[in-house]
Amino acid sequence: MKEANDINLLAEEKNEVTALFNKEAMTQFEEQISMVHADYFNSFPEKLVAKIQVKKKPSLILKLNKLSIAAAIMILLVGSYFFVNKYNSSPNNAVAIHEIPTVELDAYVSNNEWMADAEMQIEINKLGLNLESDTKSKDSID
Amino acid sequence: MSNLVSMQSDQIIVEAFQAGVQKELQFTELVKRHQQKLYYQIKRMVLEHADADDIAQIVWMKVWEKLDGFKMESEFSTWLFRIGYNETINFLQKRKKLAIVRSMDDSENSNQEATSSNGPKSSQIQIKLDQAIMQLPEKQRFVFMLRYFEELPYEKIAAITETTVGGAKANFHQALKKMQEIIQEN
Repeated sequence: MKEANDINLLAEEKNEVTALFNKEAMTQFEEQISMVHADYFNSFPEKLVAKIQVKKKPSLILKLNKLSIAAAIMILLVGSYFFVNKYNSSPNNAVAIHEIPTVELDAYVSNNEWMADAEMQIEINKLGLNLESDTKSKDSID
Repeated sequence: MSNLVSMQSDQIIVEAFQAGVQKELQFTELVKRHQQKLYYQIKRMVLEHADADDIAQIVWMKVWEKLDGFKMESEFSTWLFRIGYNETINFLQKRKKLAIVRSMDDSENSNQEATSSNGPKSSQIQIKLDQAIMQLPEKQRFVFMLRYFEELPYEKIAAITETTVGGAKANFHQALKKMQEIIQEN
């Protein structure tokens, strides 16, 4: 029933339009509208797909750019981690003097005592001092 | 495969597209099914092939971009024509703004060009019809074309133009009344 009414209504409305302009004018208008070159509708879908593929490419570049930005951030983070660790770890390598066993300290001093004596002798010679004679004169019991 | 696809409903094709099954093939099938009606509707509004082609391409590119989010609450063709309607109205409004910038003389010339582009064989009534159609407000013109040439029910026209059924009917009859007035003035 509703469908029949709709069809009647449409027919009435179309009659009103054709009464105003005549049917030929309306048909001619539609003919002008439907005038397109023969291959237009065959080539249109291909044209669209080509356009879509072109549009896809920048998104790939964008993805690559995102990846390269992420990689750069990762390199920066890892680099700065190692940099910070390097400088934080150097004080840890130094051993406090109280942590060295006394035996080791004694061994070091006795091993290096001759060197200290030699260095002192060089300094005395440079200054031209004769500590030996001075001490003798002072401390002499003669 | 393509024969199989052509037997399916729009809904099945849209679902396949949304599932990521050969997206370009599904999309191409939808284009093949609906391109002519969409193009003709746009061309009835803008008259020039180049403009209609540009708008049709924009509409289909939007369909490609947004089809994943299409919820199928309406028919695919309704949704497609709604995008077509919005893009055509956008185009006409931009063109109107450009026309305002031009001088009155230029715009008169362009109107004459638009009507004379129908060819030397155009009858007086044909010219009057073109002029009357082009003087209609965009929405009324769109509704008039959908009703007269596409013979769509008012429910569908209302869904496309995002109005009520009563609103769509009113638009058609206002268009008819306005065209009568334009013809009487001439």
